[in-house]
Amino acid sequence: MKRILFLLLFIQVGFIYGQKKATLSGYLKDAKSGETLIGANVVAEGTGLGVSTNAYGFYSLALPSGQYTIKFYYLGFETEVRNVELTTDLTLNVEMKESSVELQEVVVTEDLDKNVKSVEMSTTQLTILEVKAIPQLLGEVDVIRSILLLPGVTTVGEGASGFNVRGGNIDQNLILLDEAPVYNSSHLFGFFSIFNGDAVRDLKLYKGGIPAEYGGRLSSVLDVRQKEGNTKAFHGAGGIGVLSSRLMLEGPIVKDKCSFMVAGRRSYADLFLKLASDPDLRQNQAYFYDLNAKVNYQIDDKNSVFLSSYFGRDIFSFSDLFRFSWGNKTLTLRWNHLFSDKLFSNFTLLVSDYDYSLGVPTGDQAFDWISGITNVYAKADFSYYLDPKSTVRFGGSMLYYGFDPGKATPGPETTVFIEFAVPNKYAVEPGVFARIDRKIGTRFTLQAGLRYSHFLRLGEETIYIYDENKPKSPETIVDSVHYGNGEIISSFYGLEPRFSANYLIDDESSVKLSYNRTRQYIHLVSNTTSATPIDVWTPSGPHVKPAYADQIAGGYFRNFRNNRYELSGEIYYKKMYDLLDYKNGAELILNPTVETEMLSGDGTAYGLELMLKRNGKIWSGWISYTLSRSEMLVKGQYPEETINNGNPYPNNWDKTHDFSATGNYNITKYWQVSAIFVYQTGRPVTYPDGKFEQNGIIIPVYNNRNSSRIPHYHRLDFSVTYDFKKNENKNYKQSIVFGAYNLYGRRNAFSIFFRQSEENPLQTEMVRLSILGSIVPFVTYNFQF
Amino acid sequence: MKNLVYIALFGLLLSGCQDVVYLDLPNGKPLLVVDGEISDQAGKKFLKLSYSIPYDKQGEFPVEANAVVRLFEDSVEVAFYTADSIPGLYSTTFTGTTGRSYFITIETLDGESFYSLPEMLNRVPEIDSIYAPYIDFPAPFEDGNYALFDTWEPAGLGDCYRWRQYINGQYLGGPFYLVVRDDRLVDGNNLVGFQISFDPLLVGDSFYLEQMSITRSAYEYWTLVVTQTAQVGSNFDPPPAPVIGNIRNSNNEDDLVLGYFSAVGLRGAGVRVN
Repeated sequence: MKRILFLLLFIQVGFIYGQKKATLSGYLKDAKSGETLIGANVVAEGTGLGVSTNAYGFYSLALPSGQYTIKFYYLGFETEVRNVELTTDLTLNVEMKESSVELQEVVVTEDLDKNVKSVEMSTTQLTILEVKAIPQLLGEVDVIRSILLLPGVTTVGEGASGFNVRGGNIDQNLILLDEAPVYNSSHLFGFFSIFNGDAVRDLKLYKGGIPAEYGGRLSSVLDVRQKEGNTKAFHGAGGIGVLSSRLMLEGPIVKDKCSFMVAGRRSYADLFLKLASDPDLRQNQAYFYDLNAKVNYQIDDKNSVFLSSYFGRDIFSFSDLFRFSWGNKTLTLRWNHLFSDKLFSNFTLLVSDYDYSLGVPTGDQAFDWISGITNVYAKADFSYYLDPKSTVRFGGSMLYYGFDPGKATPGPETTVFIEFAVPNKYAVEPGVFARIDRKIGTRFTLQAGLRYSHFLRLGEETIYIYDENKPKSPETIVDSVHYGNGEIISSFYGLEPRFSANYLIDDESSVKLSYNRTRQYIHLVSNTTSATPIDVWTPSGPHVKPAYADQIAGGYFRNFRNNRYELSGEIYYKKMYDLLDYKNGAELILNPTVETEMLSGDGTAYGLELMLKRNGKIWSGWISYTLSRSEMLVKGQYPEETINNGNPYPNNWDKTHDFSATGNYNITKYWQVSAIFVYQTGRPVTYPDGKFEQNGIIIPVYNNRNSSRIPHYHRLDFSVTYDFKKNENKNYKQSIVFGAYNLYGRRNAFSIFFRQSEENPLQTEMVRLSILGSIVPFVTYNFQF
Repeated sequence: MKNLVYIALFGLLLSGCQDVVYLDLPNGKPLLVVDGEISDQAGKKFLKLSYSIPYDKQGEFPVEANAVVRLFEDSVEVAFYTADSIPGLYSTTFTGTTGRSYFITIETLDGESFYSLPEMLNRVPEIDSIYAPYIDFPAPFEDGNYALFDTWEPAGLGDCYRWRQYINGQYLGGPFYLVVRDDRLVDGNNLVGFQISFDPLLVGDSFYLEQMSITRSAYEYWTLVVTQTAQVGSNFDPPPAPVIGNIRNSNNEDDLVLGYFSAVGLRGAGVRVN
């Protein structure tokens, strides 16, 4: 720790003062839509000095006074060149034009050398166009399904909610939608994600070397940004698919100043039920929807604000017998302010909420059960562009949590149920961070950061005290303590050092190294293969320790053929401490003493990740391969607090080999084909050592958790896109996409399970469960105007 | 909360295709299995001793026919189980009393000895009435006669129950007929119209229900059995786990012994479908 502080100090004193300097700053925008461009490169030619635009499209470059040729690069856009005479500070906002999609391959620009030159590692940025080029299940553009094709990202299986990054559990990903944390990213129990492809602009996944401004989760950050809305002209886009239809509208409210974007999507499987002859079936509902809305206002050169919102829900109901719904709501208010050409600031205030409700609406057994998590979040971030070689970022945040673990209320006519609630839990999580990015000489780039996070569990709540000499259970409660409103129940805190370095071997290759410590104070309480929508988040407290992780990663990065090919190889090692696991047969729902079902363990994950990416207008795609291991050790004081006899066991998402290839080829101006091939080692499962009979039930004997594996997984997906010929020179553009998921219809196993035979209950059988075990074709019609 | 069944049903809607496969499974060694209970009802109470077999082996479970089994009430020996004519089955006519605790000891011929952890015989409410009306369910559920019953739940949290069902005198085994509940959501209430059968009954069938009070520990055991046998085959399976009950080897506490010896308060009631 001391060493890192020393390093920061060293970097600070290393600044060179002397020559008179002036600052060139401004925003980069898309000429067509007015959307800001994130991560675009700004280079003063001949000086070797340059900077990237930040997450808000802003850049600032302090240069010695003089004449410069400034080049602006952004992938898929024509390079802009400006000659400037820099004597005093200058604002230069630049609009860049998308490069035309001609049949000859465009010259691959210098922008793409970021793979080699940026200090970032273990990071992937995908534009929504790249995501849309991938063949998708039922044609639904799916952000999360797409990142599963990246090295180091796995899932338990098809249809499982969430994703696993470098051996971490699904609750270790900080999923942000316009900066608002999302607590359940799934529709339809995990088959689809909540991000509407027409409303999203781009996404960035950090698997390691996580910058200090991000905190709260151990394994990754998935930063998804919504479109800002076109400031130039009114446009729309949409589509009709097998599963859902969608429409997005955007346009200026005040030209070049203020814009809006609204988008909606609804699935309609249940609309087919309306055609059913059975009137009961017609009353059933099963659908999801999303609404996205954003207003963006550029007040002046120094101030811009936006208000962004997401609202989505899944709804199921069986006539008047049963209903079930869940969804997320987010609202983000953001203000960017330039204090000076060198000091950029961002202030964000947001609210995020996830809740579910299920119940029986009528009758004497009516009840309504609700649960959820609410967040209010305020933060301030500052970027100070010290000199062309150094940028300092710092800021602070305050996060408020309200947890509602569950409340069941009987209906008015019911005499059976009583009201039952697990008391609410409250917490706040303040944090501060500082980070410096600094070039040293021509070859070294360093990023050193430090985050301090604090977590306070607050009343009002009654906390049980358990007998210290016995395993925790409702019977070993010896006392309870009541904490008043706002009273501190538990306090946790810690430093989170973050460090990345890049050493350029030559213009086309580099080696990088990163280390990060991350802390996580809230946990998703889930004990099923795939998390369900009714799983609740719980805060750390007197009986649940916060988790923390250390990760070290190193890599070699090389670009070939004028950046047409990007190659990266990384190795990582990650230790995770105080992770949650659960007692055998744990009851986690509506349990006021849920801590008695929880166990604490440590995780270890390590692996090798290789990725080769081809950039280009005609041919593009990537090949990724991961060799990895992710395991867990739960060894408590008592036998009931130990899993797998105290031996380490692989996690459900541990896939030794994980290979995928993604390709996209423009055959002509009108026809485009895409394909994915995936091959993975089967996930771990537990096979029984034996069986016994009791009370007419045949019960398997399990001894070694996850010691066997299901068969290998492989799959080919394919899609063809046809752009209508009449698109040319018309504002209304149409395309049709058709294709298939699992083209050769392999019955990939999700699990192997064991049961009594239905025909002969005295016999037992082994059963392979396949979720998407046959070819799933689709066709989608897309339009934009 | 019977309605949780519907959640399982959602799971089933999502579960894709299932194929029976054949795998080479590990061959664990045979382990002693105890299956028995003492109740507060008069009559013979049975206890079965058997052994586990490899999962992929089909056929009968070997029995332990030569054991000596003793019953203790509040740590005092009160009964000796006699071997039944069916090998592996033992019985006693001793009747338990509410509020007392029970355990057994077992000695086998090869010198091994086992015991069960003590179980309290808890209070159990009467089944007030049982009936089997014709119910018109909305699709996709089947219309038909279903068994419903009324009972009451004594005030005070912590009561746990298990129900056993019989049709025409035939016990309904299998994981999907194993119903265990605690009183968390219904404490102190009259329970009216509880649906217990999930398959429609046929006209002329006679349905018999046993309502049992069980201990918290037995509740946890049977809940674990449900998760390991009934909640399988979807995306939402709980992790496979060893099902360990309250039987221990006297010589080696770490030795795995299977099954459970329960003390239950028991009430029964039946109905014929007309």
